[in-house]
Amino acid sequence: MGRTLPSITQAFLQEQEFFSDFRRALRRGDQLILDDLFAAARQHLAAAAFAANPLPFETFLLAMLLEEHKEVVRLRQAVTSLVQLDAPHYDD
Amino acid sequence: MIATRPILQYPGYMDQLLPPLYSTLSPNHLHLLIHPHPAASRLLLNLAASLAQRGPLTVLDGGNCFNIYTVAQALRRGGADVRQALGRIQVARAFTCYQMAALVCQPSPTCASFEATTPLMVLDFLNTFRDENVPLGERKRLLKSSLLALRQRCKAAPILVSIRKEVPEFMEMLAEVADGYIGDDIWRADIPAQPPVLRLFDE
Repeated sequence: MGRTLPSITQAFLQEQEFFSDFRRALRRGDQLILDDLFAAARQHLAAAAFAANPLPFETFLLAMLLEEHKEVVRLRQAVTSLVQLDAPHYDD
Repeated sequence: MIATRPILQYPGYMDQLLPPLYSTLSPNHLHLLIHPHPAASRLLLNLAASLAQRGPLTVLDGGNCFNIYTVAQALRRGGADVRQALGRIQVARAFTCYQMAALVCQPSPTCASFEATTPLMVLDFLNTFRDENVPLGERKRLLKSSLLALRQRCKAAPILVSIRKEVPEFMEMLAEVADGYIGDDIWRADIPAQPPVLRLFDE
């Protein structure tokens, strides 16, 4: 008996392949950013497999968004801590 | 030798071939598509998506080639409710010629009425019959009974049988058994010839 569906990794690589022409047309800097986005989605392949979405690219997009939002939250916390450090202390 | 008509000159035209192929599907005909070219598999999956948008569909997969992700993408492109349309597709996979013959000859009793009138797609039909672990006579017997069952079933609903790799002895048998049912409905998607390489200068 064989596998009846391509694995989520195969589906991911296939989706990445679909965008190879798009990637080729981008500037070098943008190509690296796009690679980062796909790398972010790749981190969540296990969750994407568990989601079993008939359109796996939707899950990959959400995984990219998840990683982006994690970065936003991390940066927000960093800015908040910096602002608190720089704020004048009136207690003195 | 079976007389066929070519449907493929260039793989880029596959999407344009979908409407005429869809319109030719009619009951009382056993449509046969011979397609060594892998691009035709995508055509069949797109056809399955088109049929699923309109009603229930039964798929018997002999080559483990029914990629549901491709069907889902085609449904999304067509603007259909993907989950609802996918719910109308009933897929059964056969990995041996015995399983294929059983699926074709004895539809499950719970689905008998469902399958009787719904279009049927049999993908990579001859793949399981190329198994050399099964004696040739046994394979021929199973193929003959399968073809007779398909002939019986095509009276109620259109049936499309696809073959990816031709087997000479089976093709002749297919022509004998299916004679009168698939006269002009055999389509062939040939591998397109490579265009000649243009040279700037003659050597």
